[in-house]
Amino acid sequence: MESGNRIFLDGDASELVFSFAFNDDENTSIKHEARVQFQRTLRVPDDGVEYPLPAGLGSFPLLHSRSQKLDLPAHMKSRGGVVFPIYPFEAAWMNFYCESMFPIALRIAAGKINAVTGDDWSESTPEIQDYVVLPDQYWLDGFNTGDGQVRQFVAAKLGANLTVEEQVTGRSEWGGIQILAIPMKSERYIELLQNNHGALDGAVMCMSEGPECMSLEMDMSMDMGMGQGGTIRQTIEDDPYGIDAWDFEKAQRVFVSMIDARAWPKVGGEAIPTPVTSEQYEKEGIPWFNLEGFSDVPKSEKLSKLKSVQAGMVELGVEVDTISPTVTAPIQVSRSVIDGSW
Amino acid sequence: MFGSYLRTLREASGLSLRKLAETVDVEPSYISKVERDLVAPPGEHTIKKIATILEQDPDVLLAVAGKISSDLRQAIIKRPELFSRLIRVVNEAPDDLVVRILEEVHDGKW
Repeated sequence: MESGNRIFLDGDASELVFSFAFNDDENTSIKHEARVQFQRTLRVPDDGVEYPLPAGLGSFPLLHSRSQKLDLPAHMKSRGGVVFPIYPFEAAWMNFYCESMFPIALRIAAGKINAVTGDDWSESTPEIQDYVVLPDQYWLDGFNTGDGQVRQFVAAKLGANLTVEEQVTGRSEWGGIQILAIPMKSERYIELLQNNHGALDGAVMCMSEGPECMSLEMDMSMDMGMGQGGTIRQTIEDDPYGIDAWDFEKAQRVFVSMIDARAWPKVGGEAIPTPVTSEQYEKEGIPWFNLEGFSDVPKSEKLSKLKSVQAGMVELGVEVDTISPTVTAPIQVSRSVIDGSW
Repeated sequence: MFGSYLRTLREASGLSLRKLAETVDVEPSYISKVERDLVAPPGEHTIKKIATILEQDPDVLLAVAGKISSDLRQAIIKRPELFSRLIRVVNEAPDDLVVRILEEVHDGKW
């Protein structure tokens, strides 16, 4: 691995790209990338039912937090990274893909709470797997609650004690999503290539009740965080390489701020459509998907006992949709990203 | 060069020479001469108005006319050493690298 590692926006500002420069055993420099999209989707009900994977309905637009075009609060600018607008109670999932089979681990947190373990944010080598491994992991739809299930990522405004961060830490401090991209150690990758006789080196496209809240003294009225929604069938794949395969010294991090979509035009962004409703989803015949995983990471006890966003919605008198998924498309490698007519 | 480029853009937009002249607030005969490269390209202000009407990037249209936008010129004059170095560094870089530099995501305090 050499210098030249960077994070940038691509795909018409819909993709966050973690790029790592790697020198192979013939000293040829090759770039390996992990691409992340934040997909809009249907919020599944939190009714005890396990839902299949809802479709992607277009990606959230990503902008640089320090863009001159945006008049963002100072604390958001100071964190750097990128920002996207999302409506309160809107659901999202993360789409991962890479153009080679070079393994990259992504440690993902919401409000600086790890989405796999529920632990506080860390940038050091963990004792247990607290990350997803690309290209094996195609998507992530929510927080790890084990047994092949996740609780859907659903956005909520900070301050209402609905986000995972607020319930775990008792503070409304960060919100947003944080990602640490960790490349495989060079020597381990070379070893992997040799063991596979170069078979992995092809350019392969893989589509891949808590404490009381304390608000801090800054204007966080537009800040959004991630809470837990309904249950979705999804495996967070076990790391086949082991924790010592990852080069944490070469890791790159990014803070993805989320801002209330209703305030987005006021800070210079372009308005985004309101989220799809269950009624629209059914009327348009948008399919659901199933992807059987292999081996799941252990359940997170911390993430398995939190209040859902839906409970907060009920308290606020927000209408809660219901839906019965009737069309399920079994898939092996790809999940359709559908641009709906909403 | 600028004239034929402008004419191609104008015709592609379906705008008559007279209408363009009227919108930019110049004589049609002047636009006609510009399009035939019989006179030098218009000044920065007029080129920017034309770019807006034809939905073109004003910096590109100015560049075709051999000009640089006054705000860019001012930026270089304000910090000559820094911007000269920057331009020289990226000048030879391939387009995709320049785009990546522009789109690079910077970390902050968190």
